[in-house]
Amino acid sequence: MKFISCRWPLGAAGLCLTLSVAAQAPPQDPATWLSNAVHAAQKLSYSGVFSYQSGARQETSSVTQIVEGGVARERLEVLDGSPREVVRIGDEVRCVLPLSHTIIIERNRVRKSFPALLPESVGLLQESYTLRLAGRARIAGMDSQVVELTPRDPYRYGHKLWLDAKSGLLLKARLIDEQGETLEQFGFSQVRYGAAADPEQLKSRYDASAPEWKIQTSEAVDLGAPPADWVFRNSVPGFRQIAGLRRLSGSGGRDSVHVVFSDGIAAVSVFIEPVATPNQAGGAKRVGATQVYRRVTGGDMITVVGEVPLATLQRLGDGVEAKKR
Amino acid sequence: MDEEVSALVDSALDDARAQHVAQVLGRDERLRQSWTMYHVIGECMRREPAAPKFDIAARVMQQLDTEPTVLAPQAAARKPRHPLVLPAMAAMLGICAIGWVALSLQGGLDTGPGSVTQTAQYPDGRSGLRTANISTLDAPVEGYLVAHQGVSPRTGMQGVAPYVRSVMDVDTLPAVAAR
Repeated sequence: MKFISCRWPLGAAGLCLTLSVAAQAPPQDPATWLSNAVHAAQKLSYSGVFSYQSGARQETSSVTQIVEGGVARERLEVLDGSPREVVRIGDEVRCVLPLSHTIIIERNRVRKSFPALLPESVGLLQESYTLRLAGRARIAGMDSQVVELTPRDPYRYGHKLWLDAKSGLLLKARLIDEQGETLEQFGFSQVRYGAAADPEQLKSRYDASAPEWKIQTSEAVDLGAPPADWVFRNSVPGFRQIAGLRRLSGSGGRDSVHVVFSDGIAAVSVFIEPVATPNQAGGAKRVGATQVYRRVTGGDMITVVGEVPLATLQRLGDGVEAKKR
Repeated sequence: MDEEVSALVDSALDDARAQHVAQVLGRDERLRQSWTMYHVIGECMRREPAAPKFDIAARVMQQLDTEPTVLAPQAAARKPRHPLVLPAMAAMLGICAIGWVALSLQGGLDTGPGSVTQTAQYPDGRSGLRTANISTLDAPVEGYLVAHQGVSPRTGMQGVAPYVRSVMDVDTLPAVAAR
């Protein structure tokens, strides 16, 4: 499997080009709409309320992003159930889970150096999906362009995206299975741009320095090359290895390898680490539209995560082998 | 949890408990099957024909499709000689349903030594792809979900919103039978 981290110059050139085009006239092709959506998500300040639905579960959240001096600060608060929080400042994401008194802090310094993680890698997308513009619709009081990504094979799900016709911001997104059923849906009911985004909304409601919080930190550093000790025997059509990270966990000092595969919009994470406890069992689990598959082999456990069919995770996970040393 | 699902079918739970059980039902395919079965059983016992909205035949067929093929001899079902009247049909359906519930509560057939269930293949209900029989993972995964969202292209397109997938409230009830 080829390790591609050389997409940067092409991606950057493509993005600049598409943005200058976007400024003149509404784009006519779905790929340009997707690039504009990525740009909008990273450059715009906005504040809004959205709902997330998966199966019978539905939750409403408020979200605010303020971009100043090239640094994005974002905060999400779930308004139903326990008041969970996700705060992102630059490359640090902090998730607060009040029910279990846990804070997960994730530092990912390499995020920016992997633009292949962004769906503007249109070539990769078109290998796996048919892209088409599917009319206009009104979402959260705004005119939106509908973009459909129909999978070319059963290794991935379909996507239906509603993008603000003016700003490009993703207003609604639906993940669709092979039978055409919705697996999950995000949808804004209200969005306000620019100065209307309230900086007060960025403040955490929790005092994370209080002693009762359990803090889990994880820091990702770039391996710069495919992991030397592991081979991936099984490939899945359309999925490329786009990143290889080493994760250093603060507590217990456990070290894991995190390899990322993507088809341009869906991602599969493969975590490889020594087994945490004896008798560690494998298996599978579904959390919303995200599936988790774990396999234990020798003294290592391989955990595969993604918003893709279980068979895709299993195929990638079962192909992981330690190189003979 | 099955008792609570049964109680929910019988409207014997208070509002808060009912809401919780309904949420768990939303996440748990096996419990949803129990929910359907309890309804069918209830209707059989009340001598009502099975409500067509549950489409029991389709569900049973779907379940058969997703269950591993068990290579064990079974007695052929005896066919009724006479046209069935509705109550008798309902009663028969009830027997089928109870049998099947018992089966699914055990988490599939235990076929003993040399069991084929570990290697049997069944189609992934969502994708039509075949996956091997996999047990339920009973380990916390929040840390992985958060790390995964950080590298997903959707996060580049949608900001922190996809992290709602990683911070779902953990079910505080005892875990249902891992299957």
